[in-house]
Amino acid sequence: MLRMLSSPLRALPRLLLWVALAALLAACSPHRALYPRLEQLSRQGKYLEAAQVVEKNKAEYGDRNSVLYNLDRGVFYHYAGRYKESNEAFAAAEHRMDELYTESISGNVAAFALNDNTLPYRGEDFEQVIVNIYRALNYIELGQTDEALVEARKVNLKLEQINDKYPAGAKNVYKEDAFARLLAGVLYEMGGTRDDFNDAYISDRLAADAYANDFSKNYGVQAPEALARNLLTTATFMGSDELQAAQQRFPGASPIPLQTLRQEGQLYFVHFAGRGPTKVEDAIRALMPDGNHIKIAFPRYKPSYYVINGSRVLVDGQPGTTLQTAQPIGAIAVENLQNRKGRIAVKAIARATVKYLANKALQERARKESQGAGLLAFVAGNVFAEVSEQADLRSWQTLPDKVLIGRVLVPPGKHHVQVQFTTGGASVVATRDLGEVTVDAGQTRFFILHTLQ
Amino acid sequence: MKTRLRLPGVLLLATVMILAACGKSVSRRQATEAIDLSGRWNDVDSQEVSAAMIQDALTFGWIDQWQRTKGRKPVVMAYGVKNRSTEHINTQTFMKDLERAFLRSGRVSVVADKDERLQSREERADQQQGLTANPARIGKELGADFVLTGVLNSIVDQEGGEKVVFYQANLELINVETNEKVWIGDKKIKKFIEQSKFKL
Repeated sequence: MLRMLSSPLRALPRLLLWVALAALLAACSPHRALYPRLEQLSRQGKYLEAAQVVEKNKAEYGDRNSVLYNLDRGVFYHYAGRYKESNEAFAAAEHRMDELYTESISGNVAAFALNDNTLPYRGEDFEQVIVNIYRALNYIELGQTDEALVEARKVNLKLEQINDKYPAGAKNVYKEDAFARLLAGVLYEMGGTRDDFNDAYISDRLAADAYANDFSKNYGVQAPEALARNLLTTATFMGSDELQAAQQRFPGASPIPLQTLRQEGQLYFVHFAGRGPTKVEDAIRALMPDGNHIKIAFPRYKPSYYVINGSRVLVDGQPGTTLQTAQPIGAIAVENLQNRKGRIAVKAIARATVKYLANKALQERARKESQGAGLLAFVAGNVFAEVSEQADLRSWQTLPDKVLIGRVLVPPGKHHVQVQFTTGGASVVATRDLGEVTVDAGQTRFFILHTLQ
Repeated sequence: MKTRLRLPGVLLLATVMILAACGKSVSRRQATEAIDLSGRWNDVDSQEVSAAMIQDALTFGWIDQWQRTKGRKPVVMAYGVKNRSTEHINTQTFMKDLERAFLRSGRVSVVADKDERLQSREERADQQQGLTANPARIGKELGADFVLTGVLNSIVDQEGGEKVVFYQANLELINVETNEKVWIGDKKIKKFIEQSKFKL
């Protein structure tokens, strides 16, 4: 009797340890509980406070999610207009992303035994590029065009790296970032030298290619008018062949005369709209013939709803431009995950199989000792299977659903600028007054807008 | 019994690991020692550029020629270096090294750049308020004969975890009056960076 009791009791601590460990890992991204609060602060425009909330909860993010910690911090500082702090945060995130190119074998083993949440978060491909978009905008706002251009060149390198990562023929939708290229083109133009104009032309052309080949096909996003005009403008500078090619591509658009570029100012508007989709768990549970159950969990994106889908700019009370979607971040995220679904499923099924076999072996051994031990092992094993299998729901959740862009050419001097936020159609949801804006001849200025409603 | 022994062992190991992770050690090194960590632009690169530029700029004939024709030391003003690389690089480090080398050679005068000039002008204006016993005189600024400018380019070739970075730093001395370039310094640095795909 004593022996019968002692064996399940001896096995008990180990089983409980597993269950406790699994439970611990299940609640592995406690920082995700912060998002409702962060969103509320964003809606009220209290971005600085949001950044501080993120910083106060560094421990909640944990070391595994240090990339997300810095990305969230970077975004809020960016919207708060604290561009230096934002850059510091994004630089830290980028640094860590680079380091995480080296995967830990022991980490992968843990992920295989438990779930993907045990791995450090490196960021999706497109997230890794968006960092540079934010950083470039930060440098523009700091008046450091050269540094902004460094970011544009980094985008180049990263896209190369991303494309190298996938073996030839592997499905990989996110190959190019049309918006990053578009922005790089504008930055090069701001550089102002002959070389810069040449670089601007290359970027504009790559952007136009990306819109034509990737963005319009995969997400239904066409090249914004600003890009069409920029390509024609830089092509004019390059020569007649280039101009002809550009005109064929954008028959309706006209180049901006060089004289206008020198004599007028350019106001660019970048509108980060809505909240990106969030990952939720889909789980499949199956009962095996021996009564054990297995669970396979994988992430799925759930769209977020928001009202403000578009924006219009008024300059001195007159219609300036209607912003156009330049980067469908949410759609890219969904498509990207869809791409990897097969790979995630294979991993999850293999994991479930291993867990099932391990459970079975443990149960059999326990049953040999006694009935009670067998039962205990069965219960603990099934609890473990349920709790330990958790989909990796991490993502850069503070990203917008899409980015819109528009440009207005204005004579130098002071202008009263207002932005109307719309549902995408005619009805205006809200208006934001940017006040008196001063622009010099030949100057390019950027205005960053952010809406969550 | 066996299983019972394991737990303290694991705990001990964990403690050792935690303690090891907490310790931070600092050791002082020679400023010239080459320590490459990330593969990004670092102090060693900056110093290599300085060394090459200083040597070349001081031995090239422009100083003597100026001395012969004008009968005085050339005056140089450092203008920024344009960073056309893929990294955020502080180019002031090697520019300052070069300015310092010019001064120490005793053969070249160096004047303040734009930002520094604004500061000294502010101070000079302040001295004119009648409170300073020996106010600096106005209209005595030394104009530059040459501007020192440059560009830093980089080419990156990468495949998987392997990367070759090539930097080319060019500094130029341009005659302010004639736009003639009297010296072009050049330093090329090539690095091979390997990052393994896996670790334990």
